[in-house]
Amino acid sequence: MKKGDKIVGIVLLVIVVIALGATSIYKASIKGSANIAVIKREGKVIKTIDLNKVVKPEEFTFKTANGHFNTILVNHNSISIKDADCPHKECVKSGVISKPGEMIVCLPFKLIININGQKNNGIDAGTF
Amino acid sequence: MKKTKKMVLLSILVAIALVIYLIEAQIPVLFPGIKLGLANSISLVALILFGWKEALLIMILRTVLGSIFGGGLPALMFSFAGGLLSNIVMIILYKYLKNALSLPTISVCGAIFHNVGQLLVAAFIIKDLRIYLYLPVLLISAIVTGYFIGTLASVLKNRLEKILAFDKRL
Repeated sequence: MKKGDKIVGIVLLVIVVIALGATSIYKASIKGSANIAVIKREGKVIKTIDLNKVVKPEEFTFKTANGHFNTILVNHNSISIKDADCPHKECVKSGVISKPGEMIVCLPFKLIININGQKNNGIDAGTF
Repeated sequence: MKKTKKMVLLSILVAIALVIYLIEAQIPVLFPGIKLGLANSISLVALILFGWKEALLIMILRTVLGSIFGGGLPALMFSFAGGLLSNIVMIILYKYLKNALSLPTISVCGAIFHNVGQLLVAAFIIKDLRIYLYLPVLLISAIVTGYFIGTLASVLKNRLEKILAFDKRL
């Protein structure tokens, strides 16, 4: 251990704590009663599914412009990528997500699935 | 060191890095996107034994060849962005703070910037900044793997230095 190691260690610890704090604040901020999965490709929304309202399992296949595919499996309150023909299948290995703030990313096909806790994005609070 | 000898040594290092990279790609990972980054130890050793130009060269050759043998174009973009950023950070740290920082620390910084660079490309490709939710996990993994790789590189460096010193006497 040299002199500078400690300084770097402390700086890294602070950065990790800040990053953890920021993401948990973000996750807390999108929590809600709803469970909306938003599927996007290249930043454009291609499908939104209300996971609370899914009764029986359903499958969707999304094709890219060059003929590749992601097969998405939707269950009650959960969503996963069942199959894809990308080289590493990281999206399939990501498994099932069910809580707001979780996501699945398929980088080769530029696909991202987010779960939102609130129905009305953009409204800070609502009273019922 | 003679020019031919250096060329041979560098190509051996590239070959080693490539094989490590390809074998590592077959190992299943705990969490998508997290890798040990064993091939990075070769870049680190090259940086110490040869210099920054050679380290960059090895990194570039390894990522280009690696994407030819498996991975394809998207993988090339990620490896390249991550590798370039991490190598530049390690080169700067090694050049100016060699006496203040030990090898594992330099490697940890390199690993962190590797992941930051990859996330940057990912956010750009997917056009969604929320991918940065992965950052804490990737930071922690970078610290662990970076430390491991740095320790490995320092062991490797000691051995290789002995061999190269022995070689000079011949």
